[in-house]
Amino acid sequence: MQETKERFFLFIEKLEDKLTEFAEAAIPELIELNNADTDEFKRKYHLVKSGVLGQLESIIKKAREVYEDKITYFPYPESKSSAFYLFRNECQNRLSELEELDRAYRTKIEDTFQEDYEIKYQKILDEYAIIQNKFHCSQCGSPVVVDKLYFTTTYISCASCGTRNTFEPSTQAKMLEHLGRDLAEQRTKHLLKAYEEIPGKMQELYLKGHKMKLSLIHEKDKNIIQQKNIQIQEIEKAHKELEEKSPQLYQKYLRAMFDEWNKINPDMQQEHEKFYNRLLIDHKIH
Amino acid sequence: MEEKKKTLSILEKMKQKAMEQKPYGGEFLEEDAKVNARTCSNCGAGRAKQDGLTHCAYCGFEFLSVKLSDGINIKKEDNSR
Repeated sequence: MQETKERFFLFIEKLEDKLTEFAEAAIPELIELNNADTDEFKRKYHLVKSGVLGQLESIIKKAREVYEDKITYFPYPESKSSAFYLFRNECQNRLSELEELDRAYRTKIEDTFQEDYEIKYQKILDEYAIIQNKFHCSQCGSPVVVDKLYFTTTYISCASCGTRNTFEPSTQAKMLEHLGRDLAEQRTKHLLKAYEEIPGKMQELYLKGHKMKLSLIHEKDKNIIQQKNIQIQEIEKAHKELEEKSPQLYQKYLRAMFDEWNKINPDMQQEHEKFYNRLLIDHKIH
Repeated sequence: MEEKKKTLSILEKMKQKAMEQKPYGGEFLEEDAKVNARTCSNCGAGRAKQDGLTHCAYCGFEFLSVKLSDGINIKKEDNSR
């Protein structure tokens, strides 16, 4: 058992080194690619990024396979079961350390993606200001005014002769709906962050309360017990408040996000609202 | 040292592959906004708003064989009567 444990620890350590080295080498490359990729969707960058994430995944998968093979199904005599549980726990903790490292690097790798949607949106607005009065009716030659920001092909009537001209927006204007959500999310990410911080805070409170409860087990002094009980109650109250606040914060974020999205692309408001309702219902269910 | 070379080469290979790979759906083409009008191929008349979009008001030529329903910019009223 001891030998297997040592070998497993060594194996995990090697994987850790490999993972760290690979991720450290990949991060600057990805940042560079993200800045250099001129493609509209940064497809080359995403290709490499998913390749890098796949490499990390395969390292973790290997570790899990070996854990299952060598540790979980380690043959042990009936009399040594408690030693086996200890051995298994230790190995599992070591594996979790590797997984933790993997998670940390994953976040770092995801963070290499940077895109300012405001710039793209501003480009669309600038373009609209230019083309607004640029076109003329192809039948009679009088000006055709593009009355608002269209993101799909549409008919615009000539004010003089009534002919319906087909207006085809530019490629970047057609991306408006695609861009809208990303931009709205970018504008409201502080609200999402506030919502996402809740579980961490709740866990912290829970652990604090739990620790206090444990400390009461051997406590004899009645005064201290009473004091601590009051504190525990306060912690539990705060915990409950957070729990109740969580869905409200989510809704606040979602509403703000969709308001922004509606502002960016008012033509799709009806569809956005349907989507908003569905997301809210999904959130309530899960 | 040997190990380092190996991991770097995986990364290099990945980059190379990504660069060589043709994007799915082809290159991204950017086009400018434009306006044009469709005229009747039968008699040359344009399509005026009040006459609807599906048929030529002068000779009855069929522009669109579908019945229009309400969309974002096109409405039911745009069917020719």
